[in-house]
Amino acid sequence: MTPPDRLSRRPGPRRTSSRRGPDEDGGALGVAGISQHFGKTVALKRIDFEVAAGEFLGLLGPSGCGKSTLLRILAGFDRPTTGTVTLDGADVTSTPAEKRPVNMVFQRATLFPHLDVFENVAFGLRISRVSKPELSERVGEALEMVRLGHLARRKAYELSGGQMQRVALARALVNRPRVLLLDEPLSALDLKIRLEMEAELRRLHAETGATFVYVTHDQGEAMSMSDRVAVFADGEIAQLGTPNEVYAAPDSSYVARFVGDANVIPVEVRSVVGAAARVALAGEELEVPAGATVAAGPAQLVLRAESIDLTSPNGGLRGRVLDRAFRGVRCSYLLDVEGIERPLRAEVPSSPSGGEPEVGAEVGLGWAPSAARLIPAEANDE
Amino acid sequence: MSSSASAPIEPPSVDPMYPGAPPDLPPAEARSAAGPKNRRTLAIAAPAAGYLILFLVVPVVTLLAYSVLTAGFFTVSGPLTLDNYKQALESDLTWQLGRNSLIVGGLTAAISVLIAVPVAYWLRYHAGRWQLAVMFLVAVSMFASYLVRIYAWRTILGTNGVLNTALIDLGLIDHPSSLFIFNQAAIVIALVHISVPYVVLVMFAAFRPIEPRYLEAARDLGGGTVQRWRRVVLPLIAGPAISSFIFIFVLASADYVTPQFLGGPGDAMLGVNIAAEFTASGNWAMGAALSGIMLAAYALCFAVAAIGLRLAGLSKIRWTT
Repeated sequence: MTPPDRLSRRPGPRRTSSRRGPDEDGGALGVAGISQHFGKTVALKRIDFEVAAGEFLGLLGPSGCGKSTLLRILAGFDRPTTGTVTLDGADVTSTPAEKRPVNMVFQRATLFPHLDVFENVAFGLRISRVSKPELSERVGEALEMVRLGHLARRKAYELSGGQMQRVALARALVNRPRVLLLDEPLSALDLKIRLEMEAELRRLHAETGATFVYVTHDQGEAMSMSDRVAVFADGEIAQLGTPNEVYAAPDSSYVARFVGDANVIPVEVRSVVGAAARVALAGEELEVPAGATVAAGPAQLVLRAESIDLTSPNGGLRGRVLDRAFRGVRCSYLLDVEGIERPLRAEVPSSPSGGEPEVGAEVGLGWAPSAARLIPAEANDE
Repeated sequence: MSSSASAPIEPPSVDPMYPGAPPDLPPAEARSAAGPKNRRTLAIAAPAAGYLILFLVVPVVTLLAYSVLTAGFFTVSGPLTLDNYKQALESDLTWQLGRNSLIVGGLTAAISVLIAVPVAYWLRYHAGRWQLAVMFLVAVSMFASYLVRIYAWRTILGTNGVLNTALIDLGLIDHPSSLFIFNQAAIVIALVHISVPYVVLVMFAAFRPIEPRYLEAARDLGGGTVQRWRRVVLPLIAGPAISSFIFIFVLASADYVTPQFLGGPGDAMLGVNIAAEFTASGNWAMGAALSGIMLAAYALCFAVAAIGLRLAGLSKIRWTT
């Protein structure tokens, strides 16, 4: 890990770049006006964003939303229909994958079956003709980094799913990529291994200093690891912000529902006074923070399931319990509130003594005023 | 793991750091304990074993027995002798025909594999919606009888054949050329034509498990076309490619029909001689000895290939899902 060591990345333009310390390893990525058409299908609609050097960006969205298409463009496997990709300011749009200082971890580990763990990790270094002593040192380091040094001579079929993804990580990181792309690398793993790997990825991100771009459909993964999250909807970025912003202040009902599965309730805004708005909801008049630019008229109220409590019997809304599911630490409720079309979901801490409302019981709904958020009404809200 | 070895009750040794790791399995001998499972295995293997005994072991043993008996005219009898082998190996004709067999077999096999690998690669990764149609055409080309296809090449390459007529009509030559037929090239062309479809199908099957993501991973790690082929594609298809080579080499070098129809007087191959010994000469023992020599040569090829693949660790590719 001495500085001269840092210079011996892949040959090519990078070699001439000035020496970088361990903390300046990540590359800044720029995506400008990227769209991708497959025949008549439009997979990406003019995407723009920037990733700072060393940042961990999560690309979150349901399958088919274009996030993997974008990752393939960033990796250099596909060329976009329009737009440019820049790396540290240099246009790399037409640089093929094999020449980009960018490495990828695939959804399925994709280890070469004829090579053992060591040779899989050494693959990129052999191609770039790294000297023998340096090669074994770097492969050893990379394997230690993912804590698999003891399995260097195993073949892929002798590894568990989690170990395979660790090897795939080591195989990518050993090349010291400016940007590491991860395409749902944990989706094929068991929950327990997945949680371990999330911690591992955070650690690797901190240790390597590389820029990480992480594609996932799992909002938990995206939120727990990312510095910022881009929520994708149908080939576009619906919202880009820190996990906190996206979670607490969704811009649209889509983001509110996709991230954290919030209740989105159509309301009528009566008046806006300063930062507070008075809205009509199920026959009641409530005061909520005005949030984004909301004027009098139809709007939507975003209310997180875990913000609702059922212990305020007087005042506010009253509802009937449609369904209850005990989940250990908390209890999930489905509540029918007169005047609100869709049942509301509530996540309430379960009380040690029991005594939660039964199905069919009448309950009063309350929440902290600041927990609700107003967003503009949407024409095509489903 | 050593610290837990003394614990009285120990579940299968799972690495505590990585609970997902497969537990250490007992050695193979310990697992294959005799029992009812063994009897079932035998029952399942019986048809295959029966087939091999009836159609491989019995004929080959008979042939080898003939080769060490004394020759009569269309008969063999005692005593046992190695004279047939001695005679066969001392004959200049055997070596000359063997050389022809080696050249024709080797060229046919090499050219067939070199044509079939790119075709199969294209079929696997780039044919798209044409894949099924082209595969079907490849299979259809195997429907025509072997003899018909040899005759077809005669009508193409012959002195008054399609090729000569076309060249004359184009004004490139003024009288029919006899250069196209009755030589080793004509034999190889016909045998390649017959062999390629088999190799294409085998190689397509070889490419099947190599999902495009493996090639993308190689690209992502800096591998250009040459490096991808050298480090990923070729090692992964080496087994089937070498098997195909040997398969076609055996079929082509032992062929005794094509040389007679498309070869010149000096282009006969070992198979032609063996056929003649069994029919015209009536020397079954000599025919059997020549066959035995070829069999030994093929077994040697196979052994070399098998050992080579094993040493390279490529004899069995174990894919992960």
